[in-house]
Amino acid sequence: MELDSARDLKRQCYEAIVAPFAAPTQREFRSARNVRSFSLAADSLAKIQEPLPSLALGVARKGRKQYHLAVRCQRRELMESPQVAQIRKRAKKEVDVRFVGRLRKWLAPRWNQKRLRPIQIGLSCGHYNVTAGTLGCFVRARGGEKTLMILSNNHVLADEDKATLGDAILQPGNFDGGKNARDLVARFSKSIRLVQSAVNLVDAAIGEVEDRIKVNLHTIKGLNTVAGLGPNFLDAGTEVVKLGRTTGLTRGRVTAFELDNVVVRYGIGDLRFDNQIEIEGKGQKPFSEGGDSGSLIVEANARLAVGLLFAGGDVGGSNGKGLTYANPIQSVLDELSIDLA
Amino acid sequence: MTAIKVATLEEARAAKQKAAQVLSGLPLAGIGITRVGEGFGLKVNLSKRVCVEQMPTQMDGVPIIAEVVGEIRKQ
Repeated sequence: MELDSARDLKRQCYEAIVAPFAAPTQREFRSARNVRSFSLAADSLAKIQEPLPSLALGVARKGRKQYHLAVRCQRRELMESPQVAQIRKRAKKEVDVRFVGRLRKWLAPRWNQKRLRPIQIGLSCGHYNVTAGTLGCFVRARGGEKTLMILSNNHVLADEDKATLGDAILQPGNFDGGKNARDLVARFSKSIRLVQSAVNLVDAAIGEVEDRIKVNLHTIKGLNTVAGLGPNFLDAGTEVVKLGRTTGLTRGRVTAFELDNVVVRYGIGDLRFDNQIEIEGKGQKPFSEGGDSGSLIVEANARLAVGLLFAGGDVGGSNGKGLTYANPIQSVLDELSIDLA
Repeated sequence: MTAIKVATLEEARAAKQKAAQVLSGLPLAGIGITRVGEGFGLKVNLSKRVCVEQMPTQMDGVPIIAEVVGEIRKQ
C-alpha cells in the first residue's frame, strides 16, 4: 500500500484497537504514587508495580515502494490476542506482526548508584527489601562504643519498621542492582519507630557496618569532608548542601525551621512530624527527589551536619520545583543515642 | 487590627502555637518559622489552595507567609 494509506491504517487501528487496550495500563502507571518525576522513593519492593508491556504500531517498508502496517508485541501472548486479530482483519494481510519483548530505557547510572568500595556518604543503599535510598553518614553509639554504623532513614534501612535485627543492608540498594548477600555492607541494628497515633520527630535508623567493609568516613564527593556537628539553631536563609542517590550534589536554602504539623505520606499511612527543617533548591533544580532520602545535609560553607533528609514534594519553593523536609541532625543523634563518627 | 511589626523569634514561636489552633480548619501541611525582613514570621504551608479571606496575614502582629506545597511524601 501507499505510505499515506499505511499511515491512515495505523491511525485507525490505534484509535479503535490499541488506545482502548493500552490506556488502563498507562493510567495505572501514571497514578502509581511511587513513580514521580523519573525518581523513585525508597519503598518496599512489593509495592512497586511496573506497567504491563503493550502493543506498538508503526509503518514499515514492504519492498522498494510499498508500505505496510508494523505491529510490535511486547508480550508473547499478544501475538495471538484479539487485538492483533482485529488489526490483521482491518489491514487485510498488509501487516507485519513481530514479538520484540520488553523495551528498556538505557540510562547510565550515576557514580553513586553503582557498587563502590570503600563505602562513603551519599551512596545508594537500603534494606534488601527496599528500592534504594541514600547512605547519610557514619556514626557510633554513645558511651565509648567502637562499632561503626551507617545512618539513614527508617524507611530506607528498616522498611518502615518491617525489618528485623540483623537484616541485610545493601550497597547499592536493590533498585540499583544490589544483591543479598553479594552487596551486603551492614546489618540493621536500630530504628526510631514511625507512629500514626502520635507526633514523630525523626525518620531514622542505623545499621552496623560489616567488619570486612572498608569505609571512607568523612568525604562528601564534590564538596570536601563533613567538618563536624552544626549548631542546634538553624536559621532561615542558611545555605545547605547534600549528596543524594538520585539528584547527586545539590545546593539549597533553609526556608523554614521548627516546622510542626508536617504530614508526610508513607506506605503505612500519613504520618505527622514536628520540629522539621524546610529547604528549597537553588537555581532551577529541586533540592531532592525520590531516592535521596537519608542524605546528610550540611551547611554549605562550614560543612557542619545540620539535617537528615526524609521527605519532599513537587510543589512550592521560589523556583517552583518543590520543597524538601529534613529532621534536625541533633534530634536524630539524640533519639538514637549516637554521635557522628 | 494588630499592626505588623518586626517580630522576635520568641514572638514568632508564641504566634506559631496560636496559629496551629486558629488555622486548624484549613488544609495545613505545616506551620513553622521563617525570616521576614529583619525579623521572623510564620510560614504556613497548605496542601491545597484556600480562599484569601480564610488566611490571615498576621497573628498577634507576627507576619504570616502562606504557601501551597501540595502533598509531601517520603523520598
